[in-house]
Amino acid sequence: MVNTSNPETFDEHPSCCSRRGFLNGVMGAGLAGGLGSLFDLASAQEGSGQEGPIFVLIHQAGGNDSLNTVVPYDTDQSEFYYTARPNLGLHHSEVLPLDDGIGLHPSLVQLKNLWDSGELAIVNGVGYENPQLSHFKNIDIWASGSTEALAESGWLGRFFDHQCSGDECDGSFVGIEAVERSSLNFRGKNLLSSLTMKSPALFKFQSDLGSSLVPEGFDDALSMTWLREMSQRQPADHHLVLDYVRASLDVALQGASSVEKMLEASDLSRPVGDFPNSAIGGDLANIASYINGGATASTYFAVQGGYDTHHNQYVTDSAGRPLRGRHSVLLADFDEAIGAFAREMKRQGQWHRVLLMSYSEFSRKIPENGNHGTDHGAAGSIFLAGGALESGFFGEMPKLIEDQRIMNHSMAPVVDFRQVYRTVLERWFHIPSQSVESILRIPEQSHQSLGFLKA
Amino acid sequence: MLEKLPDSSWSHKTARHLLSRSWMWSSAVDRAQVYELGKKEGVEAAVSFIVDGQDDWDEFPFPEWWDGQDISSGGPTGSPNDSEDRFTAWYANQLLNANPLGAKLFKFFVDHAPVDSRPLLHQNKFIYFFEHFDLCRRHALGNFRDFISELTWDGAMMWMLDMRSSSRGRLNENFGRELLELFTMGVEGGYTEEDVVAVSRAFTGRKTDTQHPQDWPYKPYLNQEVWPTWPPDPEGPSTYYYYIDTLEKTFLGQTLTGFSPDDQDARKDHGEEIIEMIFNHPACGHYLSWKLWRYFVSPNPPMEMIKDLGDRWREVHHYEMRPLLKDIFTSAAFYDDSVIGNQIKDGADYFVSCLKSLGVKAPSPTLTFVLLDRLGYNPMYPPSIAGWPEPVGVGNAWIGPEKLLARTNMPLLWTQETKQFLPAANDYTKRSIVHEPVPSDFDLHELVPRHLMGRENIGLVIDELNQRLMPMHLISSEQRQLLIELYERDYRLLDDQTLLRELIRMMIALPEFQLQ
Repeated sequence: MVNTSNPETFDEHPSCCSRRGFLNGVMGAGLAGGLGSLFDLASAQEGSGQEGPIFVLIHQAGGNDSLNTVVPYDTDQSEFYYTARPNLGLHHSEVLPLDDGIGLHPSLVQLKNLWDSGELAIVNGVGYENPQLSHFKNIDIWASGSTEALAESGWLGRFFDHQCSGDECDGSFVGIEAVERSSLNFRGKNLLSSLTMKSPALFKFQSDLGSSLVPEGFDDALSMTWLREMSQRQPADHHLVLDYVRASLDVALQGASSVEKMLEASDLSRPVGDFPNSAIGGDLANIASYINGGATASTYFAVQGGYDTHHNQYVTDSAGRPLRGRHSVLLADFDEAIGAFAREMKRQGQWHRVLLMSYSEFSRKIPENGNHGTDHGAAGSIFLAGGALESGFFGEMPKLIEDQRIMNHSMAPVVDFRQVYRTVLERWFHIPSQSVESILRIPEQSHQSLGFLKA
Repeated sequence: MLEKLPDSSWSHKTARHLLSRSWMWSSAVDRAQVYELGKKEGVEAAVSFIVDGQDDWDEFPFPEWWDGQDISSGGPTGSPNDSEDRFTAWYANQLLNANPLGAKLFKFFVDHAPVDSRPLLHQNKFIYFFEHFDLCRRHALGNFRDFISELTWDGAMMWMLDMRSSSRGRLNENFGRELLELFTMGVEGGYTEEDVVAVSRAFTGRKTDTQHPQDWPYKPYLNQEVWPTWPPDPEGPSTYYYYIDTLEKTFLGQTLTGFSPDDQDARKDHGEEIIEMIFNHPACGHYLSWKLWRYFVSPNPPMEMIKDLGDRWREVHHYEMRPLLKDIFTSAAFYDDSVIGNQIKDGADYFVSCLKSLGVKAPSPTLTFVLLDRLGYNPMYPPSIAGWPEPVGVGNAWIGPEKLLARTNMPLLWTQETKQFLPAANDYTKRSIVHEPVPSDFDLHELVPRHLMGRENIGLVIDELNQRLMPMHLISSEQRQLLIELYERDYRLLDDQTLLRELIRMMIALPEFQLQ
């Protein structure tokens, strides 16, 4: 990530890297006995996971074209929508109609079903003032929860930090990221309060020496024990970075033991849902399986990439309509994965505990570009789904004609993204307002909650 | 100007540090040689020895199949995966065996302007990949401005960032934005959204030649007699200007005058003019020297120092790489105590140092591909156009738990000759390693001399391994004692060979080995 104003540094976070800071981090995150308790094995049977809210966050990476996702096909903006997108505009006969002349992209069949059953909320016009159009700046802005894009912590990381006071912490507030690289979203003072795990089957320390010469009775778990002990020995001279690697290795080794046990225990708990055979499908299937396996985590994160549709966003069908192509395929995958996840949560009896939210770092410009695609824009719509939310539209569809003029062809923000975050923290996790303001670093009484969750 | 390290401060430690950052691995002999040179002839001489070496890319030619185009019937080597594996092996071999500083910089440039296999769903994919990586290595010890100038004609990048489809009136901003944000000025570089549009307009009309991609770079409107099949309109060269935005543009407050394409003498290359303006702008020198400082030195340098370094690079060195590297490697700041031994190896640094430490060659192309992927460094699949994660930072992605486990397991491929820790069948890389040969070129006695075999010498063996494996962070005496206990007590059931092999694996798995 490129961020000249706030390069990542150890100096800013003394607590992350000292031995004590690390212990506070891991133990403070409620991992009594370390990550061994990442999964509550005692309750690892169907439908009997932990109590408390679950939050699943999905990043649609690359900048989803919001206007072709939540489509103003029959509003006072429609004429301009079709003028600005002579090739790309989705015809009213194809969109899946919701209310108020707004419809969903035809790929979003499952989301339409969730809408019909009152389990989908759509917040329109989400962004922030004076938007920037860089992927990397925006990814950092959304993840850090700050328009300064501070690289030192993420909004969820600070939320995790808040849940811990001293050495005490509620064990349910551990995050799991189903991603290759740890994201800024989860970064906090308690550096290692979350686990980054893309492939649980490969999340292991190889103890077996793989040699026919190993005699019977030899404890091949010894290597791991020894490695942990070696790694925990305080070095003679103090090195912040070395301490950081030691801490990270310790969590990796403990996490590996824990995950191994979880996998053994969760054979029965593998989701039976029909998840699509795709990256996001696999990640959501894994998350469903962790929940079913009794994971103590409250917060999960996954990424679906590929939304940077500068060209060939669509391919016309035989009737000349833009129903196929990259954007349709991406949204269909997204839709099927979310549909499968919702069904699986219902099957597990967990859906009432789940709030699922998707966002993209920005939306795309109002007019199509010259390559049957769209360039970087600003505000857009986001989805929330779950068994206990208020369905409907929130925020406001942007005024395309005005925005075209004022915002250099991008949609202007109507809702600040931190209002969405405040709603999640305040009304889903029941964090007091003052603490939420501190976590989100927003002025008192500012950025008020939205109505997609009851107060 | 940066304060220089005085010759009197030259030591074994500074010599080790210089090698640990400018190369991906060094032997004790290398370290002694560089130390001696610095001691006798001064810091400048030691640094020049590293920096002035000639690159040796000719020794790593493209494989014969490189310009095979037949993707439809399975790719140039018979299967797309196989071609990817062999391409990755070609690259990895250079990281392991080319001029060490050249290899380190090659990696920097591949990271600076990464290309992804996925958008290049194209019959010429591998031609573009080889040409692109060749571009990165040719300029590794060359000139940054030349690199960028050529990058704007790079087939892979034209596909990656849609430049090939951006034309007058049918603008695509993808390349223009990243040229400024990622490749030259940085997101804080002071340009505006209007500048992004101006740059995008200046790079309209550059098309890839799908018929003759080997003849790169292909510049139809500078060299019109090689006009191939683009544009399809047969009327003549001036038709090409239909695709180029020749109108007036304003960039960074300066005006580029428009021109009439019909007047041969008036024709200009607005793209090249933009590059000139970018490289004359202080932000470019600052951003690129900041990025190189982060790569070689430390994550959070004082910006005042970086500005001095960048201004000097722009004004005095004209973006030549070698003088910049000398400024960095001779500076006192490079040898600061807070810097030495405090950089986390990136995936490739780890790969190279692990194999070199074990004294082994790269395994089969498929295993190389899978191992690099597990380490988070798949050169054909960058995480984004911003490249791979930075080498050091809080929550460092290179050593997230999953990646660290891959690091603890990887030596087993050689030390215990097992591939059990790798995905056996198709994982998401779509590779099966079931039939891949396990390498057998690990020679225990290259690390542990025969005369030191036997339990009574275990202390000496550990000291020997310590020096070889982790010169920047020798293990403590307490840790040493633990290893001896492990050897003598807990592992007593194992035979000497198995035991020493596991000891080596354990030391490579230590946090100390992850740093340079």
